[in-house]
Amino acid sequence: MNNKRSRFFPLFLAISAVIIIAGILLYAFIGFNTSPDRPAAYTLEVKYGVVIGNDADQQEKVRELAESSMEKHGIVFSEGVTAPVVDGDSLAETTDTILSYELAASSDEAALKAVVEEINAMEEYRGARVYASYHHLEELRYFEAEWRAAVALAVAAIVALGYVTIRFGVSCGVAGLAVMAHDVLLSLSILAVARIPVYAFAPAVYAGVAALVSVVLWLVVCMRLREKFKSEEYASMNAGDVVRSVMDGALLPVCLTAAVFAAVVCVLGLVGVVGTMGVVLPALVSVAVPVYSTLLIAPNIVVPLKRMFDKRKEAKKGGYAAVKKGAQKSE
Amino acid sequence: MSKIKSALALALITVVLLGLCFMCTVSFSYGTDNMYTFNSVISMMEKDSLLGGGLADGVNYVGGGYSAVFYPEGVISAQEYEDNLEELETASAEAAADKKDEAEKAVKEYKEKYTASESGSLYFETETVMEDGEISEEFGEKLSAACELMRSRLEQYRIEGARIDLRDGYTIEMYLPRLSGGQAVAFGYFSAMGEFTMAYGADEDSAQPLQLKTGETVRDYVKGARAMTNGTTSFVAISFTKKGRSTVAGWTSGAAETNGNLYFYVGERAVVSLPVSEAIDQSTLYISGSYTDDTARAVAVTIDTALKGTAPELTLTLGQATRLGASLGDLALPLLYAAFGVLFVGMMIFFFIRYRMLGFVQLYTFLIYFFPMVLCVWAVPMLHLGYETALAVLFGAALLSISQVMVYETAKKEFALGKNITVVVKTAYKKTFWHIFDLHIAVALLAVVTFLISLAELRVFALALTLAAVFSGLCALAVGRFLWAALMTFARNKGKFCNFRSEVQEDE
Repeated sequence: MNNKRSRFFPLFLAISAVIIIAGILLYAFIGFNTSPDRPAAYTLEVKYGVVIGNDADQQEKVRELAESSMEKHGIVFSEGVTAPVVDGDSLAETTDTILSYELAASSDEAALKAVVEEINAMEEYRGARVYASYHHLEELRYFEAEWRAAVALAVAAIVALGYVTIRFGVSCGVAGLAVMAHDVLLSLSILAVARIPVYAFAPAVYAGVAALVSVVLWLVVCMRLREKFKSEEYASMNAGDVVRSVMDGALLPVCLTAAVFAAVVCVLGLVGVVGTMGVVLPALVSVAVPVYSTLLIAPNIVVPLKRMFDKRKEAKKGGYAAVKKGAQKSE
Repeated sequence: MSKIKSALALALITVVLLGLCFMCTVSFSYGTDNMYTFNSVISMMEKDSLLGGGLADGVNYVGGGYSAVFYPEGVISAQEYEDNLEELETASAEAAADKKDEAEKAVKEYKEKYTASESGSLYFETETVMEDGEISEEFGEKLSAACELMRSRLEQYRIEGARIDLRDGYTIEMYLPRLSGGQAVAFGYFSAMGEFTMAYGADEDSAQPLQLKTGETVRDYVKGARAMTNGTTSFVAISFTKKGRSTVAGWTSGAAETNGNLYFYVGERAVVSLPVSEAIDQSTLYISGSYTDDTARAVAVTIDTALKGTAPELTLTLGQATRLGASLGDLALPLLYAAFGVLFVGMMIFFFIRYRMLGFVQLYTFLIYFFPMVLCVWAVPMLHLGYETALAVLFGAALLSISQVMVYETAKKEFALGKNITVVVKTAYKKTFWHIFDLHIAVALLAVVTFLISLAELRVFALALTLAAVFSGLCALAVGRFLWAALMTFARNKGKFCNFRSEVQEDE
């Protein structure tokens, strides 16, 4: 086993443990940073009817007035979105339109009142006027999806690693399970501790991504481990040496595989999503953590397990040989 | 494989892929005055609330969602207050001299009837909502119970991207993504407050409600409700207790002679109105009709939560509803497609540089993986286009690419030993078969179990990943090998075709 890798194993474990504990505590008390979802926010709504709705210049005037007024009062606002008002029963469009802006939860109410007054004082256009109002929104969260996600990933990990156990042996299966649990928990904990902004639904998906990358990377290592353990070379080596040589060789394939996943999330986040920070950073964490654990933590788990199972095997063989010898003697 | 067979196979695959490419990506209008439109599969795909896009007809829009604000009894919007006041004031100004006092009194009374909220966006009816100049405790409790009931209904409705907010402290705003369908039904039923009950009669006015004896509740008659779908028909299934079954059987015993209606109410809203023409004597009543999967679930959730939860005595009125586009803006969808394009180009550059003409094998293999995935996202009801689906499709493509690289690198090493290319391909697939198989099976197992247990976006991600793992596995193990064999028949120098070098030849 690589001396550094095993020497620093307690340190790696301690780092993970500290982050995971901190993450669990933070999640329990304040949850994830779901600011992209605006769990608490203000909105400014400007409603106008068909007379203004049919005149692009007037609409632009309304927009300019609203935005200049907010700027004047130091209110930070998102890009204005126009939405047609619909009938609640049929969802058919009415003649009214609402121009709305999302504002930070920290917006000053006095300033908002002033903005509303300024917009409402806008001169009538062909007998039509605009109507502005601001509103405070507070999300009512529900959690069923979150606990179901935790159960789903736990069961899925056991099933997937059950397959790994059948194909690659108990030591690989158990180590893989430990690593996957570590990866999912550590990825989510980093999101919670570093207060990385995520959509409220996203942590479950990022946990899924971490589990997926974890199982893929661990399989890359397992394939090499099996080849090595099956080779004649292994007979003259101990488990630690085999794992070390495999891990040295697996460094490049593991990193390249992770790089493919990282490239996918980076491009998707940087090109495909306007609010890049909400996707790239957390997804990169979910890819990077399995690389760390596959290269630095998993080998230290698989070696003692392999030794233990090899000893058991030998003991069984020994026991069987002794029984066979005894039987031959008695004959 | 002979050259003719290869050429035919490749031509056929190319035509199919071109057809799929056209079907999936091109939208256009045709006919006199462009009366008809052909919408591509990608444009017709359901999009989640973050994404959205218009169809080729320029009228219909897929994605985004609807938002509705519910006002509790005794609370009105500032606009409604001002409009009403303006109307009264105009009437007062225009009133004849003998009716002037009366009109002015009406204005004064209206002003006294309401108190403005701190923000000025709401007005409270003093008699109903206020107590000693403040919002009454009773109203606050009723509102909290109503919020909790609507929250639990939305939670049980299980639609990705749905959201509920407390607006201005005293109104409730609900957002439902368009992909759910049946938003109007959900808005109407989820805001129904009050006790669950049932009645039977010729019409709603004359229907006799269920008479509960002392100590009884409606749960002694009705166990619960759930939604079911059989093929294309959706049902609401209402389960009765023995007592409930005999009550309904008694009510409907004469239905064969005199038709009646069975009503199920939540508060004052009839959520189910069932015409009865024969006696009903069943422990579970299956009601179909015009329900879709979503509307059936909305009705079942409304009944079930009213039956099992609290029943706040608060009437909610839908005040304002809006139709919203993609929450991430109109550019979100084109940018997502651009991301796919960038990754595709990046992948192809890598394969063409490293493996030369084998890049064509990867191109065909990838397209054979990609288009069925697109069709699945369009056709499978549980799937829709969102970031989680995109991530799953791209991860599947990543698995496919990794598998192909594993095969090609193994083949490269084998070729370097001086082996014949046919032997090289065989050996490479033989050596990597179990690696690729294990990789895909483990991912598929992980995804399928997650799909079976999880909810919302993770469920969509897991389902898309399951399909991606299956298609990627098939493409990597079967399609890729076939295409390699077919394309290589046209190469004179096989090693050059694949950018492989034989060390033995070089030594010689």
